[in-house]
Amino acid sequence: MSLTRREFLKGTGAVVLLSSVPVWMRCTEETAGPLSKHQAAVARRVFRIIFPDDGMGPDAERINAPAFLEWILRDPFYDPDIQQMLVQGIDALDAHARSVMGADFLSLEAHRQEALLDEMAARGHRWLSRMVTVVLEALLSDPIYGGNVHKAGWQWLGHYEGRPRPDERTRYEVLMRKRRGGHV
Amino acid sequence: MFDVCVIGSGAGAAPVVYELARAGFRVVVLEKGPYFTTDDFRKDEMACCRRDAYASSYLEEPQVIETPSGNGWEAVSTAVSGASFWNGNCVGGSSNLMSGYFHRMKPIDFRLLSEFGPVEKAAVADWPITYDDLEPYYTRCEHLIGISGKVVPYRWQEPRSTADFPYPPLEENIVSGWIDAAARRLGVAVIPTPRAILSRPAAGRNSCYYSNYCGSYGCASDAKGGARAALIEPALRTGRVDLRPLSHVFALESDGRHRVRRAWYFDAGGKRRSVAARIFVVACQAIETVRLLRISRNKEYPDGIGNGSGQLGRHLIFSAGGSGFGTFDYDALPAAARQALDRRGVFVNRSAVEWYVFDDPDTGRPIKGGIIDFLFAHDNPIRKALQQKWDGDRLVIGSELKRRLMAAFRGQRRLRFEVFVDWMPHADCYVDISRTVKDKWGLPVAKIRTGAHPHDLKVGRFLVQRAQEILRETGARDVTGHVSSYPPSNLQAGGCRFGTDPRTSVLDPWCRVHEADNLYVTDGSFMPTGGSVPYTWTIYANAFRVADAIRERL
Repeated sequence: MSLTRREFLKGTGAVVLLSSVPVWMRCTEETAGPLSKHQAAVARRVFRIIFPDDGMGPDAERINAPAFLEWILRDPFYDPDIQQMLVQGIDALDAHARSVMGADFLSLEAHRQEALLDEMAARGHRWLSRMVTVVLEALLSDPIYGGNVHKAGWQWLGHYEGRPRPDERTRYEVLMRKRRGGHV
Repeated sequence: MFDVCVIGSGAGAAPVVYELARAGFRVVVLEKGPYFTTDDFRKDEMACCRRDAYASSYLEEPQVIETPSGNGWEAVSTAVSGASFWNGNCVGGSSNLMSGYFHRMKPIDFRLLSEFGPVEKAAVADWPITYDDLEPYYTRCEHLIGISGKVVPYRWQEPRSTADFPYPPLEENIVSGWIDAAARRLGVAVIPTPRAILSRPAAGRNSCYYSNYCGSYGCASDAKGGARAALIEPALRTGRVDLRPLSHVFALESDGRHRVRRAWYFDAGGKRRSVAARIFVVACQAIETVRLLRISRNKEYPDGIGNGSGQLGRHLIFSAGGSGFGTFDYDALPAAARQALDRRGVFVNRSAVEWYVFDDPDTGRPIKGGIIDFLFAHDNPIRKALQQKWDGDRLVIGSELKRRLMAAFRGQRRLRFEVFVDWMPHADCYVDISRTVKDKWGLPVAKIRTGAHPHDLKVGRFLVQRAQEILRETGARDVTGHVSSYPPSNLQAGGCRFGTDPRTSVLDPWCRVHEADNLYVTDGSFMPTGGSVPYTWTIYANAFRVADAIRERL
């Protein structure tokens, strides 16, 4: 048992440095949320490349992928190392853009942003893979969690909806609190 | 003092709780997980499957999994890998989340060694009881758990004391008929799969409402015969059961005279508490049962309770086999067939039972085979979508990702198969205790070596090929299949083998620990071999049998 979880995640090439404060406990001055304005803007742009507005079904904005990411990052029950990895991957993308293309990710022209992500996708980049997972969760989870707005994802793919659906008394965080005897 | 203290509340525990409470005894149940009621079980993929709200956290309660690596073994904590090995930790256990494919074991499964002889490097043993000993309890389950189905004669059909199931088969999709027709053309035996799901209301439970989300989800109508709905809640209504959820037992205390005196546990607030009883019953699922007995070591039991012969934790078994699928394209079907195939909720419920025993192509001699269950690929949308994210090692993004999602969701339906064959007990599959990894209570966690026996892979391969032949005959395209050597964590048994000889077994034929007069184990850990079927029905039936023995003793 030589690996710790953090080393394991780092070993996959995803993480630069992990701080010890859980993401969900951190708030920045600008946003009172887990991401700075800049980080949130980078994430939003990445989501639109992963799930573009191309006339085929909803895009990342319509399924509320950016807000869904914030929900994941605020979740006190989720794996803190994955939360860290999601946030630090945003910074790492900026650093990568500067070293390869000489500018912040958001300063690049759209086609160069896409080329950068395509190149990462070709390598099966771990953080980008996690971001795709966030998009697919936002697309197809119950709308109660903030994604899949007005069931846009379900309707687009003809998903057969299961009943009963979760409500405020039975959503995932409530079940998790029950699991811990009421303690977060 | 309680008459009986039961640790765990799943399929192995609930029959004991139910029978003894109804017989007038006072029972306390210590369950590690929370009490989720029927109302808590929603069709929520996030809760059930993406975030595992119904199971313990692999970060707070890791387990160490050893897999083959080169010539040795690689041990990785699930807290590191993120690959949880838990499968349902709450009142009723994982039976809340089962699919309920229910098959009895066959008479030959109780005497695998004498029937087929030894298998090289496998520790096969006959059971100390026969099918006839268990038959009345299999039948009892059909009524109490609620099993629906239809008896169809075939070569390996086990003897029954009743003519048919008490509940008729559930509604079926058109594809079930296609499988029947394919089987007729191929001349192989296919039967309607019995399910632990009520097809009509009974005992205060509703019938199935065909939600389309059964396995991995809790049941919102209580039609599914999980331990909570079928047994624990009726037992609670006797007023003689003290159910204590969020109570994690960490030690059994013995009295120096081979009897357990108290069970010690952490309550929801982390406080140490204990409870005394005349009889103790452990049913925490195979791996955790072994762990509790091992970490309960004391002066009287220096290597753990029941481990005097070093047998505790050995002979762990899973269910071996494989799986695969074929695809039906809607475009290739007439409109009516397309519509019928697309009908959600109703079941496939077909099992190929032709090869329960078959002639080994290598030797020409009969060997034990298994069964093939047919079912629809799960409709969990996030999981289905995630399968479209990779093209080999390349991540798919952009419009290409959206096109792939459209094709996967809109244009086709996949028919899956799952193969169940015996998992040979052998030296490289066992439960041990980790020396380094601890859980959130500071207790050492289970370390599980998960080696597969080559014989199982060979039998699995044979059945996977037969399953693919049937699928092709139904007209499915792109039929694939693979054999798996990785253990399914929801199909675990063994570790406390029962037998007549204390030198080679942990439990006696009544599932009492040889070395402890008032301690029983009633989950799947008693099983020396598992039969080539899912275990739950046999676990239920045996627990009813042991409950009878305990009742007589009390």
